[in-house]
Amino acid sequence: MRIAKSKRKLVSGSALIEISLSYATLVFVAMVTLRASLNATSNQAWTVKQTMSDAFITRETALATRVPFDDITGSNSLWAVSPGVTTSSVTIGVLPGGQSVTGTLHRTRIPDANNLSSAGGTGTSATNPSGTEAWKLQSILVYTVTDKQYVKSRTVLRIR
Amino acid sequence: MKKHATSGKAKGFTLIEMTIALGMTLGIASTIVGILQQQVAFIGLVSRFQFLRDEAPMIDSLLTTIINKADSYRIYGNIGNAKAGSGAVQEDGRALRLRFRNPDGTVSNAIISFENQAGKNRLNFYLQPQGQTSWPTTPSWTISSRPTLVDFSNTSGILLIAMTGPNGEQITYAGNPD
Repeated sequence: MRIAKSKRKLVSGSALIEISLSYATLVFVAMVTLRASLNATSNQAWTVKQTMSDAFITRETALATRVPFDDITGSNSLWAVSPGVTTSSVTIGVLPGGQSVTGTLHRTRIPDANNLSSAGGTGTSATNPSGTEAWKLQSILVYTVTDKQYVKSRTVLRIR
Repeated sequence: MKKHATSGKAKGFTLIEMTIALGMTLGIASTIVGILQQQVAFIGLVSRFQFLRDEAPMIDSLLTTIINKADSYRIYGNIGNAKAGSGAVQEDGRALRLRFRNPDGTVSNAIISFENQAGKNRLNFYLQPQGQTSWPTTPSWTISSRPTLVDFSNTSGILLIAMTGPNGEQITYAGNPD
């Protein structure tokens, strides 16, 4: 409420303007804080899914390191021979409240070029006299955060 | 707001003016309450994710560092069995006994145990002093008191550590001693 000092009487409608201005300011502040909250929660979702995918991919590295070589090259191998890919849907974690976070896991194994032909390579007894066999085991995890798709991969080299 | 002063004496505001002012005041008040509720909900949402966002990566970092230094490990159903070294299991483990080889050729042992102490869940670390055969009765230190369950297992050749947080969230880490 504004009072004209010189005349010492109220200016007609001044309170309406002042309340309108304060209301508009308040709505603006509310929108800004809402936007800030949404930004913060969006970043949090990104961080949490990065944590989960990092955790999941450690399993792939550990598995690729430990699985017996015969299982790697066997007919029931978890890693299909490239260009073939073994694809499966995986749960990488659970959010507060019980909602599962899923991703898609692709696995493939790539022979070293100097492997003998029986092991997927083009090597010969001249270039590979010991018959060394090397495979790159590649695991690729695909997951989404909001509307963006992310990919995380790990490659383990196994030799015998 | 118009003030009638025809005779030099204030007569107050009109009913319409009062109604508009009251309505806008209520609008402002409800907006303030809305902002407050939004902030409370936001703080609640942020705190619900605290375990996955802050605690779990730190626990993983500590466990990975410890386990990578070990030569071997065994999983036990509880801290008692782990200390006794009997009754090893492959799943549903609550204690992980680690064996470290020291540079001088001696061996040290440690246990990472999820247990309930004085009504509170804790992930504790026990270190058996070098050259001793007895275990400390109290943990050397507490890794975390946030998880509500930590499950050690090895059913596929790799060590899996599944942690459940205070709001039912779950995350699983894998690792092997180097």
